[in-house]
Amino acid sequence: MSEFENVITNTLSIGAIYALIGVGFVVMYRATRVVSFAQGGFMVVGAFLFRAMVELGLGLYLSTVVAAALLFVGGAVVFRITFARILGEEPFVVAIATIGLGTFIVAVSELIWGPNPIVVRGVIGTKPVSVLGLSLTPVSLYAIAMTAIIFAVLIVGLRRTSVGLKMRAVADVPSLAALKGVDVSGISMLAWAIAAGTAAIAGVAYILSTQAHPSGINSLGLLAFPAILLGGFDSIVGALVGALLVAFVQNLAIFYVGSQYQDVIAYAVLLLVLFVRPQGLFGQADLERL
Amino acid sequence: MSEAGAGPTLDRATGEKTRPPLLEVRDLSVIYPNGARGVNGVDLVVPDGAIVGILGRNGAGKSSLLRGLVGFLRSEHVTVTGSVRFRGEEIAGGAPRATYRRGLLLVPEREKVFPSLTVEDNLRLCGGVHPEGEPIYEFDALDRRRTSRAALLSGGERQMLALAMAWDQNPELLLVDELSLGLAPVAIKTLMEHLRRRTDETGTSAILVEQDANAALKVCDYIYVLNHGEVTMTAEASAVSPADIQQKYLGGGL
Amino acid sequence: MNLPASPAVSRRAARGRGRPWTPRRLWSLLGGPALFVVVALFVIYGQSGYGLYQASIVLVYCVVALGQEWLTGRAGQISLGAAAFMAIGAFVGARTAQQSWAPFPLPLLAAALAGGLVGIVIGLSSLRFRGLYLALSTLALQFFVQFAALEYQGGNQGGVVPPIPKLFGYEFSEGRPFVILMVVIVGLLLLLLRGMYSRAPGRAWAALRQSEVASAVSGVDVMRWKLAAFAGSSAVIAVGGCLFAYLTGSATYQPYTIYLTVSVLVMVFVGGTGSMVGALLGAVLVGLLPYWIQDIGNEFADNPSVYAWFSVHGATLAIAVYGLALLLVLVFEREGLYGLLRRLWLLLLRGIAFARPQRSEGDAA
Repeated sequence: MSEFENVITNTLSIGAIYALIGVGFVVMYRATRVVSFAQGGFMVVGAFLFRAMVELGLGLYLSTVVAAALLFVGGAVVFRITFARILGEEPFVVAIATIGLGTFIVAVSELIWGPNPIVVRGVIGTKPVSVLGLSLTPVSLYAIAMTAIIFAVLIVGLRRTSVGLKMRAVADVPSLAALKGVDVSGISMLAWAIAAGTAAIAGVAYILSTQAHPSGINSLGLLAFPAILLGGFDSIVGALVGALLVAFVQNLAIFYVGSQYQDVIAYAVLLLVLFVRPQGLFGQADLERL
Repeated sequence: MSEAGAGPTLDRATGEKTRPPLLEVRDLSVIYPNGARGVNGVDLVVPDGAIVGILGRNGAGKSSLLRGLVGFLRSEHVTVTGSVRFRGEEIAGGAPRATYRRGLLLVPEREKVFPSLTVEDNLRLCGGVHPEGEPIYEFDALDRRRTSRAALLSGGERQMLALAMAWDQNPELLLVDELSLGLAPVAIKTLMEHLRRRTDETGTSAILVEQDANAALKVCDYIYVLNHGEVTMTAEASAVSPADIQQKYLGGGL
Repeated sequence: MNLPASPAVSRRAARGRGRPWTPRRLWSLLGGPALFVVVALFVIYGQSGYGLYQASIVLVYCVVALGQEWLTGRAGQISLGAAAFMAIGAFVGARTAQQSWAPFPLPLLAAALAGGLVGIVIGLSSLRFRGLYLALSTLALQFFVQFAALEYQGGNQGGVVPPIPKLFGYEFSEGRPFVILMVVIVGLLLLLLRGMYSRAPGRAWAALRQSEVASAVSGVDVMRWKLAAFAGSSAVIAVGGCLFAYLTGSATYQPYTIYLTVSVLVMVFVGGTGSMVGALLGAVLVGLLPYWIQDIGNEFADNPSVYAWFSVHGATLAIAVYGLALLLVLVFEREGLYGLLRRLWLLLLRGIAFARPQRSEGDAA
């Protein structure tokens, strides 16, 4: 396998993770206008819960489902007891609150499970499989499959279901949605649940591919911002495209100049987007309101 | 002409005092976070089945009045005082969702449809099922533009959509803020007549907030004139002419 | 609302013309800082080396918190770049201090200058982007600066080591001398800020915080005051970073992480935005919490497993408390510790007034 193929496969794996983090962020942003710095925190909790399930003998898919489900509920609960009260307040303040939330849940996770790298063994194979001429590891396949499933579910759900329609209405004009009887708080809760659940899966995919410390996983939550911004903050498709593009640029950089530049490269992309086209590739909304 | 505060209580068909009014508002005030009073001690009555017009210049407090009836979100930090009785029940200060459930529906002045949703989706959200090929509440244009996003509709079409969405939700009391704004006189006439027909057919009551006194007087049963958040005149629509109202606008234009 | 009436009037007021320096005005300007100095000296009197070190940390944090409060609390601008500015100040200051032509306090000035310049750059971008975009660009700054610091330090584990600050031959070595230096610096900073906040600049920033659009419409020069806020607060935070390097003995890349930025935000928000006292309270909280946790752990000296848990997890526990405090303050008690204390104080006063027998009728509580 050529080294350039490596770039492609790495792009797909890490891009999938960025996409999972990003799509949750976008869903939450569209429905609640909240800029969440807490996705990293949800990833960490998801990763720990996944490991706990695996140690209970639940296997790869069941553990994933349980971890995602627990975070799904957890995200809704967190919203209900805290962020529901500041629904509609200054976006600036709410964003800082998400920083507090993320910091808190990462620290608590470390208190419970320790700050050491999260290692999960024996739940997924390591032999690469050949798919469409590329040699992908099972972990990469897992990440790609999860991403595909989540995106399909979200896109279809938003277009076809009545809850999805309500969510789109709230994302469009929240005040009008309230006037039309939509339970804006309930929709926001659902958005939080989705954000947390998808972040959990992103966390699982990440720890299956590398042995990362909780703080490292949390930082990945921040690294997803360039991808989100490139795609456009309120575009679900954008989350995917932005993720793949940023992952690609990062991996190219690693390939040519070395891996210590990867964070800086990602944020250089972010600055580029900010200067050239702040709304990203697919975004529409005016994001000045924070 | 009656004095401010007297309000209509007669049933317009029989001329007798019959059913209790659908909406009774006493001393309503709407106070914004910076202390400004959008509405200051307003009394208002909407009889069952009537269309009541609220006229006034820009900034007179008409929209604040409607918002005050429907309710504000907690995060808007607006204080509503006074009494609002809807079918005898006190609803002042309630949340928009609660008043919506009781049957008060507001068609706001500016954002009255969901721009990024299609016409069909807008209606679906409001529970409407409209078979293809048939006019939607008399509006052919909406049927033709089913799959267009609402942002691409003309002003008149958008207003039609907003009304159709409202009818889909079967309101008891429809509040319409500035129906005529930005529309050509022909469109205004069509919409007003449609409104009158529909309210008569379904027994819905309505409050129309309007700057266009001419159009409003043709459709309303009773009118209130608002100035600086206070009621300065009430009358039966048939007893008043636009010129009379112009005077009450403190000499300014309509 | 206290908007500046017109630029001409406020400039005149700022120059103090037409308003005599009554003792009352003098007190309102000097009172706060003087009170601070007195309280601080009182608290550190008789403290041992360990206590003095804690005091030093708190005082350094005070500088940083006051800087951040200026930008975020007073002028209402978002920034996630506190750690980056501290790093800039630390490295520039330490490097400058190593030069023989730069005796103390020149390194502080160098740090302020560097921080201020970068602050202006961020400020310029704030004119172009607002809100979230601005927050993200400061986040980008964080990553870039930390990377640059890493590269600059290279393999040198010791980092850039500044010599001990010396003024007129007197060495501000660790312990009491350094603390006294810090008290003076914070006192001067309070004086400076108080002077600005109570006049035209402060009113302009307050207007800016409320609403940029409204301020622009009422004649506030948005661009000038925004840039001033960014430049000034970044300079102050950079000075804080330089002092941090003095205190810890060197400037290295490690401490200046996003978590440091978060703790600075905690200082400002949990302490109470819009208030210098709030920033000071926040600095005390963030500075001393790890030690309080350690003390709690020491209570369990005879219970080895609990004691061990506290030693290992004490720092993480502190972070958990910070994060939770930040979240809770923003959701429940927006005015932070300062707001809470002020409310308690008012309740107390009301209680006393209530208890006292009232003779006249028009007594306000």
